[in-house]
Amino acid sequence: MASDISRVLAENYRPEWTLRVVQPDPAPAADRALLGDMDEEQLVAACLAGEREAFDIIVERHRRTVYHLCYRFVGNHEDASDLSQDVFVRAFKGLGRFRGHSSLGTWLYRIGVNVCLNRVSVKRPATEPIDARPHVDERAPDAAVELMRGERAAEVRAAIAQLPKKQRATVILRVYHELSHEEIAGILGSSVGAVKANFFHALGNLKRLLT
Amino acid sequence: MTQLSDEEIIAALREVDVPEPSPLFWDHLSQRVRDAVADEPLPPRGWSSRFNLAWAAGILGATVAVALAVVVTIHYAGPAGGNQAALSPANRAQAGDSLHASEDDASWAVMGDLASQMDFEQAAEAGLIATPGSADRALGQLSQDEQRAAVELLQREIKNSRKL
Repeated sequence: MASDISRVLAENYRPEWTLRVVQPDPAPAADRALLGDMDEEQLVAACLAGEREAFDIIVERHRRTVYHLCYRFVGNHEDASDLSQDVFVRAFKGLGRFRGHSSLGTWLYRIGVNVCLNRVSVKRPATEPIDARPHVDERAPDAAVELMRGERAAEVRAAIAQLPKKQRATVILRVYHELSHEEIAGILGSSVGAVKANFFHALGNLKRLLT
Repeated sequence: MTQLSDEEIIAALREVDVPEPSPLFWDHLSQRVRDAVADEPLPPRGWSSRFNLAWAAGILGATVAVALAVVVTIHYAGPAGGNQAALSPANRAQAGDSLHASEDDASWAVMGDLASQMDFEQAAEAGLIATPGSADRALGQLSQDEQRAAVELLQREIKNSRKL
């Protein structure tokens, strides 16, 4: 019966559409692989020469670091996500001004810190809403420890948010991104001495805020 | 309440992690950036490349100016030496004409620019400033015919200046 229906349909019914299987073009994948092998300088040059895909690779390589930096400043995913996008858009627009005197990562840090400091100066840093935090099962044996850790983390974030801008940037870059004083000085446009002084004062303020 | 040490503060800071977003977030972020820059014009080449071109043009210009200055200095310094007496009044008049003609010359404008930027003390050290009595000494080195021609030239110039 079923075979009869199939045969009748096949003989009498001609659909208006046709199905065509298209193999994906291997060229873009090959280009992407080629771009993926490039170093930062070559990627920047390729981007300036008009290959927008080169910028995708730059984003891919630095997105995690940029997101983490932004999150440290604003303390919540939504703002960190928006700021990360902003950092990369500004980087794209200013790519022609990248002189290669520092690494691309350092240059992105510089843009990131400026973008974040501008944001936090106009918007009070918001912490993660309670329901966005990882769920803690209060019946678990180490639930109390987890809760305490969560509260402590919130205290630390709040304390960092109260620091003056340069001190905050210095603490974030030094403690969380483990950059040297010299690198931080390059990013913030300060002297090494000023960076050391900022870090010293930041620790003093954090001691006062966290005890 | 005990005061925490620097090490304890840093340890407390390091305990605070950034919550790991969804694995899909990273591609989502890349896509957002891609969409955001899609409408942006390609980034212009930076000032560094233009700066290099400007430098190259500047160096070329400076080289030409220096070469010109050397040639002109040698050319005008020559008659002040021992051969000055050999110049006839006719040649001097011709030199005067060429001097007027050179006012419209671009190379003369370059020399004018260079001279305007020259420090007075540097010029004096280079011997480009007439010292007191140097004009008398120069006239004393001329022959009688040349002195007569020089007087005629001066009188003519004085007459011309009165007409103006």
